[in-house]
Amino acid sequence: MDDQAFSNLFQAYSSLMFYIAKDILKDAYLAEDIVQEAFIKVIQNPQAVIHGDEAKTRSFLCTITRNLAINLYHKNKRVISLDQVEEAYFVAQKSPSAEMAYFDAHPLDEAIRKLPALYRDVLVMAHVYEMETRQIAFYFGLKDATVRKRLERARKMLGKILEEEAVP
Amino acid sequence: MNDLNQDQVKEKLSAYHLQEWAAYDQVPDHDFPEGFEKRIYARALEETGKKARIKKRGPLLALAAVLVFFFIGGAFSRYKNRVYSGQIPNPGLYYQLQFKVPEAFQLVRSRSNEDEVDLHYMDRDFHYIIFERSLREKEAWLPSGPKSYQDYEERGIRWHDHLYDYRVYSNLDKEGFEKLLESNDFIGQFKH
Repeated sequence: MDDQAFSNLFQAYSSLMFYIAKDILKDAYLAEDIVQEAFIKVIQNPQAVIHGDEAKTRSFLCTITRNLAINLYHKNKRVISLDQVEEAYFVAQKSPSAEMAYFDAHPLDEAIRKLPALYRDVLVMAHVYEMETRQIAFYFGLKDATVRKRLERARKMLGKILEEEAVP
Repeated sequence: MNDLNQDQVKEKLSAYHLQEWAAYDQVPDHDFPEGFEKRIYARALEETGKKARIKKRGPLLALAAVLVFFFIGGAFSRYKNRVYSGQIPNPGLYYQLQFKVPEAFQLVRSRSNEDEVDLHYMDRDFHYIIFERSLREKEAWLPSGPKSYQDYEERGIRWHDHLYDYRVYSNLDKEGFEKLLESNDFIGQFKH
């Protein structure tokens, strides 16, 4: 990725990425570190953002920022459980917007919405961006094994939510 | 999940993914520190360069690893077939001592001063081989031994042989000790 392309990305999305990271970490300096980490990853492997689809690029950058920030949050609170991380994130997350209301129309939409963000994000990377475990691990700053486990859990969880919804 | 239509999952996830972040359409601009953007780009390039260099140096590193492996192997082999050597101070005369002991024996005591040289080896079964040499009173080290060394005999350690000026004690029986002497591993040589 050349410096002009990076500069364009930075100008367009850095504040948004900062906002997402700060929402989770509650610390401006740590949030800046996360923005830096996310951009370094994208510069090193720009395949996911060079398709020219602005909305997809934006969502991709937001997603990796969120995951990197949650990782850091987790590292800084080593004893905290994954559920607590989820909880901490959802406290900071905005309520589902009105625009998203139509998703409830399909059971799968509802199941996706109910899925915790950490699990939904690995599914997005695997299915929407068609990334391999290794690539997801790179962007999210996780071990391959962690991604594999998270994917497995996400799929099970999605299936379970759908089953529960199917029961009248 | 396996039962789900993969295309449908992809489509729904994609739609959610794009829509989810639409809620963050208006966020305040953040003032990053000066030069922040440039530093990120420079660091990314630096890290990419490092990775490329590591990739390029891969074969070299592998070769280095093999050499280190052989070096350690060689050192270990030398340790196993160790040759102790040293210069023993003696008024007006220096002796060089070189000998080997079987692998099973470890040096458990080593003393060397102007009066004597004293080396004790022991194996796991508490078999001793003791090399002793007086540098002053050679007569005092005759097989009958000075009284102070009777405690060796009490412990079943007895004089076995003279090797040049050294007296060799061991608690091995005669047969066992002779067997050791025959072994090529045992005494290499004593040099004066």
